Amino acid sequence: MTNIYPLIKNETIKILKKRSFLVIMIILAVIIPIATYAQMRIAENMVKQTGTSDWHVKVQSDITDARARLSSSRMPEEYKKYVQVQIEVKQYHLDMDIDPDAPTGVNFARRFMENASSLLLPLLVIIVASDLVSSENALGTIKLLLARPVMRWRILLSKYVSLIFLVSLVILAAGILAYLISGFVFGFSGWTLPVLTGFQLSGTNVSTENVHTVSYAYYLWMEYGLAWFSSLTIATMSFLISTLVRSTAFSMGIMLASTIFGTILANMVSSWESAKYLFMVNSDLTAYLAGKPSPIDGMDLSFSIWTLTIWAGAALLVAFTVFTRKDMLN
Amino acid sequence: MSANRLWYVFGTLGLLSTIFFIVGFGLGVRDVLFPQANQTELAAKPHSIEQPSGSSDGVFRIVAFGDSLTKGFGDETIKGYVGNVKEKLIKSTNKDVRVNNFAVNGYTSSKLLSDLMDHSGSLKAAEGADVVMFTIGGNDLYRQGKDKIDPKLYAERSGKAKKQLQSIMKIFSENNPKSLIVYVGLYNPFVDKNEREAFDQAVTDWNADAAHYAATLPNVLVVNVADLFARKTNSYLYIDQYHPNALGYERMATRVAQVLE
Repeated sequence: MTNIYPLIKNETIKILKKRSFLVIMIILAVIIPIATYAQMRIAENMVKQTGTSDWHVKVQSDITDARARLSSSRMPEEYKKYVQVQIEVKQYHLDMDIDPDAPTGVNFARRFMENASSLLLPLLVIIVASDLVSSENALGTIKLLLARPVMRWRILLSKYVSLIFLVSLVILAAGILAYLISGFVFGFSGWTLPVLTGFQLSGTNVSTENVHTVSYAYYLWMEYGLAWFSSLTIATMSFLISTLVRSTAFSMGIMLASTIFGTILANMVSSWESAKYLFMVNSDLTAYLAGKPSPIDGMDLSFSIWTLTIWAGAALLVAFTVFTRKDMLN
Repeated sequence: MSANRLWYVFGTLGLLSTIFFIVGFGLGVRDVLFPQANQTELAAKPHSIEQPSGSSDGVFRIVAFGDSLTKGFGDETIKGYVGNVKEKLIKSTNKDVRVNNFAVNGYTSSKLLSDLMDHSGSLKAAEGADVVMFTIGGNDLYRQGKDKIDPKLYAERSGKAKKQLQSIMKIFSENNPKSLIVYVGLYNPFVDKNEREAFDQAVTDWNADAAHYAATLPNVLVVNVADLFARKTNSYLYIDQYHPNALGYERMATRVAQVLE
């Protein structure tokens, strides 16, 4: 029995030396400054319009604008619900005197993950995950790999473990980069400021019964943990596709298409209820923490986690079965 | 970096961050599924507000509240009377005029009052403003498109609404002792003779009572605009024959701006 440790080490080094990891870091390093700049301009504009940098004024204007939009009859029902929830949540922040958007690097990191977890992060993760096995096929190295006296499932397992490491590294890098880059503009403090969490939604009713404050540091920990989980399931799905097809481009294409399709679906068809069983509709776990309404009625955090787990579990099962039985002819 | 170093650095980092995120995930799930309120900490606290810049530094702040008139419904130029006042003030005073408009289409006096009483946010936003402007009452007396014209109905409704108007003025006056508070009165939008006569009494009474209340408070003024719409009414109204059009708002703004100068 060979130890699995050197296998994992070998696979991790292989991924790190590939370009795709570097590409992800570059993408993050380009996107985050742009987002920071946009945030800065929004804040500046707000001060210009209202004549004050007091956040109470900004939040109150947001609420009033949202109310004005609600009174428009052209607004679709689903969107109305979303806006109503937003108003309630903002109003609660005002009543409790807690700034929902403190202008700090920490808050930027939080908002960045909130927005990135539904599409950007999955895409980045797909870049690493989808050529994990298929590239060995394309290069023909799979035969060398399998010619070693190691059980096939061990090889696949070591690949999967290093994939988990890589997903963690990507999320970690996203957080650190978001904090550091925006910190130069907004400041590095704010880890101990309070965040309100625990809003419970049923329809358009927002229950504030269980709302409580946590520190930004703790909130980020939870938020990034949830984003990590959904990214990992996306990575697992890509991992499966990568063992099934031989071409990296093909496997990446399938995953990109289905993930992007998922976000479109989540925005469009809240009335088609069975769509909630699709993994890509469930991938935005951070929304539950932020108290946003789910894309489709009847979804909640435990539902989404179960759905993701079942999809990922099934994907792993198929991947291992196929990989251990496949004929490696070329 | 050699392969070994690469592995030691990123392998360790990967393992540690994985553990870190698994724990974070668990905490996140617990927090969403079994939230524990710490309401004691959350009992609404008194807080200090960063004083918004007042007129001292060349900035003139206007905060506006109320219904569709303040929102500017019907104005093709989307300025409303508030926007027009802003432009006029910039021209005449050369100051940097800034506006927060918190008006909502369809607001009634009870809605505005409950906003001001239950949720302190909008009042806080008004603190330190140079001028607070508002319109209210039109929707209390007459619901556009839903009502029959009936003088008795107006008299009946105006009783409660007037009390609320009084409270609103009082709240503004106390919240902003140093600001000027401007209430823009109602006008009669009806062109048809019967309708016009039926509504006239209600509008006149309303505006007179508003002026009475304002007189009891040190810093509240009522700007009457009813006469502006008394003649050639139609040319100052939007196609709904109810809200002012751009010209109507412009004329209202002239009045208000004259008061502010």
